[in-house]
Amino acid sequence: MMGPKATALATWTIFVKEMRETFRDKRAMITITLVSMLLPVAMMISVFYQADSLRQESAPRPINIIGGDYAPLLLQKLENVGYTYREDSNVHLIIPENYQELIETDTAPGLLIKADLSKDRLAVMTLEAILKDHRNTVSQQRIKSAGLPASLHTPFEIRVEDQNSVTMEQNLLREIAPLLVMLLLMTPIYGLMPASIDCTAGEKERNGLFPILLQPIPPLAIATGKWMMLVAVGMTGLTISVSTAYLCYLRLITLLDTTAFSIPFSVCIMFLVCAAPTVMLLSALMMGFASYAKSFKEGQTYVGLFSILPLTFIMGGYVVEERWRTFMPFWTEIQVIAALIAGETPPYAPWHFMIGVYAVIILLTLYWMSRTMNRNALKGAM
Amino acid sequence: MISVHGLKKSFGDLIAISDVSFGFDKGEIVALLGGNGSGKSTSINIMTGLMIPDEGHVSVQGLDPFKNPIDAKKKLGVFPDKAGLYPNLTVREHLQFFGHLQGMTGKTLKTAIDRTVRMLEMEDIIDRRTKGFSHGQTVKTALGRAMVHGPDYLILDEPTRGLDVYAVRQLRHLLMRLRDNGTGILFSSHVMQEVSLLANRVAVIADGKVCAEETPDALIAETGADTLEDAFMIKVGLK
Repeated sequence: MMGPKATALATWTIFVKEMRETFRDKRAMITITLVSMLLPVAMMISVFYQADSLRQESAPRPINIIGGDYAPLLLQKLENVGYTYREDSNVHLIIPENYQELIETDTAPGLLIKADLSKDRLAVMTLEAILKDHRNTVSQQRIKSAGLPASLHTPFEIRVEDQNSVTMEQNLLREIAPLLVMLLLMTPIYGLMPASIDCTAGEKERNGLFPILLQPIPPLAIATGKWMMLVAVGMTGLTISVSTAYLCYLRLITLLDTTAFSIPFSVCIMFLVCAAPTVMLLSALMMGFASYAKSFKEGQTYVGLFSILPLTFIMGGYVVEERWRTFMPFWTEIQVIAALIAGETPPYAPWHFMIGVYAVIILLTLYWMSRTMNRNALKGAM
Repeated sequence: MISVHGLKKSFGDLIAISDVSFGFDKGEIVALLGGNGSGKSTSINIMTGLMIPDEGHVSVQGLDPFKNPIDAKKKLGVFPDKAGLYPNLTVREHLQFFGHLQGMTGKTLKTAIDRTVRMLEMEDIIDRRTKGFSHGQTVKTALGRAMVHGPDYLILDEPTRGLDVYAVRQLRHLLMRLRDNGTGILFSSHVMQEVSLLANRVAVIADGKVCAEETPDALIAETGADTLEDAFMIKVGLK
């Protein structure tokens, strides 16, 4: 039997060797670095530009008014709420020539808004709401001048109290945060793929596992050392991703001249802390799957499943009942991190439960690997 | 002493070895002879504790490698059938890694690495990564890895395969020196010239059974052959 100190030393030795091998492997390094840097950049740019376009769309935009001279009061109303006029605008408001005449004879003139609703729906809706408001004003004036009570036109008032104290951009952030977290959590998977295959199936293919199995160390130390390396690789990838995403965020808020998104740096640290159990689980599972393969190529087939597995669970979370959703792998941590980004209180309790489940799965995987290591090594060599 | 007795191992319907018994002691070189697929590598894999036999038992200086693998493996240095080096590690890192796994640290490990490098004349490649190594350099590194901790017993699976004449000579002298220093050596080989120059005893495996275990001279005398090669062919029933 080997003492705990000697076992820990053996585990550390395996970890150091695996780290050296992986961080000197150009293929693994390129995958980890490129995916971890490029994916967040593309993601952040798309999210921010979407948010910015929404912001711009909902604000009063220049419109092209044809026949504005025929409705001076309406024009005044539009100017008061911040509208400007531009002939090349894609949103056109057409006022008929006899607008004023029809108004005075109590006949309803028709106003026409022409626009491409697939692009300018929000702008049209905003304009329509203002026109309806003006219509109400005209209607009230008419009723008043006829000596009738105002309540004839407005039998009851409707009041909407907006309890949302945050900006529209922050609302958007609340909506997109889970997607943002999910995509960021996917980046370590791409880094873990070559590393997990290389340290198991790849090593077996190169007959490198045999010499280690011939050493006086417990197989669990070998499995644990390799797993530790994968966790380090996964966390490195994730750290690069989160850092890149944060740098993009800082640059984009300057470029777009918006301070509406507010993500403090401490959220990045919390992101990494909260994602660590997920990376640990993924490392163990990917290593377990890859260790079953005889060659690197075969390992790619098994581990390739992991590019869609978390996504499957996450999407599954949307269709299962709420009470089961808590127990969906990856779902809970995404909700925790997303809440942190959106500045809300994270659902820590179910997450703590899932950490316990992950720990059991990790231990079982490592134990299973250590039990089958000899058999798998021989299978690869024979 | 390392001994195996009545080993049997099958893979499905294929019987790899059906009755293998032999042994070797410290200070002697024993050659394991047999054709391709005769069961040499299976016997070595069982002896080193990698493969569990269906029947029979193994003793490494009184230790059962399946019940007490850690202590048994400490006494062994193994050069497997395929070198299995790590292409991104240097020779020094290989030796450090395996030395650490054998429980060596600090000055003891450094002295052991220096000694191994001197013995194998690896000074020129010690800090090179093993990617792109020639076959001779690969064999040297794998041998260094097997002997860095100064094991009581060395088990070598076809160590001279693919080596040039000079490298074979170097290896022969090294093994003789190790034997003279008290290391017990078991090696498998197809090269009869090597066997007759090196081995104190030979164990011949044919059809999964050990059919002879004696000195080369005694084997030649017993079969009435002129050379060890002829004696081997007679013993395995091919002549």
